[in-house]
Amino acid sequence: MLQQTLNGLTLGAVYALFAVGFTMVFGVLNLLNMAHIAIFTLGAYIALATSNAGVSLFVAIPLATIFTGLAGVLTNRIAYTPIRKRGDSQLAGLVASVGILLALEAALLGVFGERAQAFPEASYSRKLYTLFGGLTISATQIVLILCTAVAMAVLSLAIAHTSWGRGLRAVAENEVAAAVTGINIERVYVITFFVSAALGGLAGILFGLQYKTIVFDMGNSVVVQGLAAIVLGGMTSIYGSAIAGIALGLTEVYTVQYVGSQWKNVIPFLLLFALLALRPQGLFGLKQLREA
Amino acid sequence: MLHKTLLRSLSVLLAAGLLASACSETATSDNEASTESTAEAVVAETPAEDTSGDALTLGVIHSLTGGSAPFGNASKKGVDLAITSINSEGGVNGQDIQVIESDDQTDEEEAINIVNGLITQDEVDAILGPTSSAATSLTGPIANEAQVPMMNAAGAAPGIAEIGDYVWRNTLGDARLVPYVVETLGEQLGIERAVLLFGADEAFTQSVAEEFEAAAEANGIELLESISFASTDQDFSAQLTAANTLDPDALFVSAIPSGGAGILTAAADQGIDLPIIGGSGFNSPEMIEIAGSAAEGVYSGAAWVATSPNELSQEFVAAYQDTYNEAPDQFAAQGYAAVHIFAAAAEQGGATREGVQEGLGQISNLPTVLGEFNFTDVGDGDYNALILQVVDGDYTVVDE
Repeated sequence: MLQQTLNGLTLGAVYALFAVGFTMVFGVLNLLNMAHIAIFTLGAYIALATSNAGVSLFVAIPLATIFTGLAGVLTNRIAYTPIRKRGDSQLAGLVASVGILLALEAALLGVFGERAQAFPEASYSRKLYTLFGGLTISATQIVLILCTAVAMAVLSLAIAHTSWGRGLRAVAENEVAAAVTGINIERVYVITFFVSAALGGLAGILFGLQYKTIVFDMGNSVVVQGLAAIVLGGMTSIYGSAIAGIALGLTEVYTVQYVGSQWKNVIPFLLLFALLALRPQGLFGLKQLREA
Repeated sequence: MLHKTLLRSLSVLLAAGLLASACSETATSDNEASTESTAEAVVAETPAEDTSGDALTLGVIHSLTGGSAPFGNASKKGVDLAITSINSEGGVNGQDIQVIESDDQTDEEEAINIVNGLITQDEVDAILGPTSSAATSLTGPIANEAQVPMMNAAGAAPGIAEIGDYVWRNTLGDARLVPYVVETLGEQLGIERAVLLFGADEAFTQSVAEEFEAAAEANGIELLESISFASTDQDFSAQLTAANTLDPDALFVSAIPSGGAGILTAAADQGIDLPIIGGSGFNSPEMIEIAGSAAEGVYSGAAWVATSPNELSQEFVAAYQDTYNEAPDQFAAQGYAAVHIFAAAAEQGGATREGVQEGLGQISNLPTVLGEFNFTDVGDGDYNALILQVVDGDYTVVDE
């Protein structure tokens, strides 16, 4: 039970990181950014390449996170800025994001090949620690949980206290009104894309570090859970999707333990259906939060 | 508001699709992105306009993309190397082997199209492939009907060679390996209780799982539970924890190499120190490469291993290393052997469909990289099986 809870928290932390970045762009730009799936994979590969070049993971992880963030800014510049002023920018944006997803995955496949890869063994510790109740935790798990906690803490501080955070909340509420009050909308977009992609990339890096399989289509392992976390969390709530991500991770492992592994992908979504039937606005969604 | 409804219905659809796929037993693995990138069949060498019947024309089908790509690409390298070396030494009956090579993208329908094309348009003398058992089980009857000898050189599922007289296979199926491994190791390690972990979404891993179940029963090993996973999973920690709490003596695993690596990693991350015994899917350098030290000590049954003392095998390993700058795996060796077996058959019976078929029937103790090669009565490979253990990052033969 204890070990499974740790397994679930580990997996859920990745889902949460991924979903938060996903939700952020969705909440502020009304854009379902499918390219986020490839950003997840890109983060892992950048960290892998950096680490393969002999750079310590303590440097490679932050470096790759920043680079993935910049890649997010670039996708915004290339794909979304040009179509933003169009009337149908939501649908066009969705299509553009799928295009970027496919292009990026194909590029990663071309550069790194179809074989799954792992971080060089010398780059991380295989050490295990036994805690209370026979609970075993690995060094990579500690890194994963710490990185997630730090990222989330920094994020919530930034949202609450920086001008970007205030801008983000204002734009999410009402973009026109935000512009009228003198908020630089474009700047909010750029920083949001950076933060979103950095979080998605970090999720991919930690996923690759923990599960040791970096492969061009690894995004498939998180996309459904990521989308579910957005919905479950209440569509636009960053905290909601973080908690939903962790809840999904826990549900998955408890299903394996107590129901049967063949139900692993079924039970969490049955619960999602049930919850949406009872509470259509999701866990943390306010009804008609942004009726604009 | 519209987009919210859109997203909500999208996720519901997605989830519904997931439900459907989880419920369906026959999900096939395919991959959008990989299908995108390599959709074209590759023609390596075009055959001479009309085959006078002298040159051996070989149709080769690999899965170079999609789920079976790790096997298909290894097999391709082995096949290509064999053809180059045979042709450089004068070919078959004094003529170069002609090759028509295609990628079925791990897509069974694509494989059917390719096989039909090879038989009716290219008029090949024999077909090597397809890579997967699933594709072979669908294309085998076509080749058999057309009386074109077909040899699978990578599959391990039961019932392939049984398709018909014209369908052959040079691998040692898990039907042969698993009982041998379970019996031998069960005795050596004193295994009384075991848990089986298996990929539930591939015909291959499912059939191997059945072999494990049968072998456990035959050897009086209590199977505490069979725990499934999907071959696309990357986190196996929940399954491993569940297996470990049952307190077994050993874990039996039926997985493809990447899944196997994930399982070994999860076991190592939880400090689970049980003997882990895999099927032939565990005999792959790719698995060791990904799992690293987590692969230490793992057992598998195998038809072939790069450290085999067989002289032909050592020459093959050296040539392969020279050409590709990497170590060959079992699938490369089987692909390599398949070409040599076809060549020997054509030397014997002539480079025609009937000639090759006749020649295959007469193969007896043929020296190959796999060892002295024979076919069983139904046309399955028949040669020495090995038990391997990963020691210091390499497969070591512990029993043969």
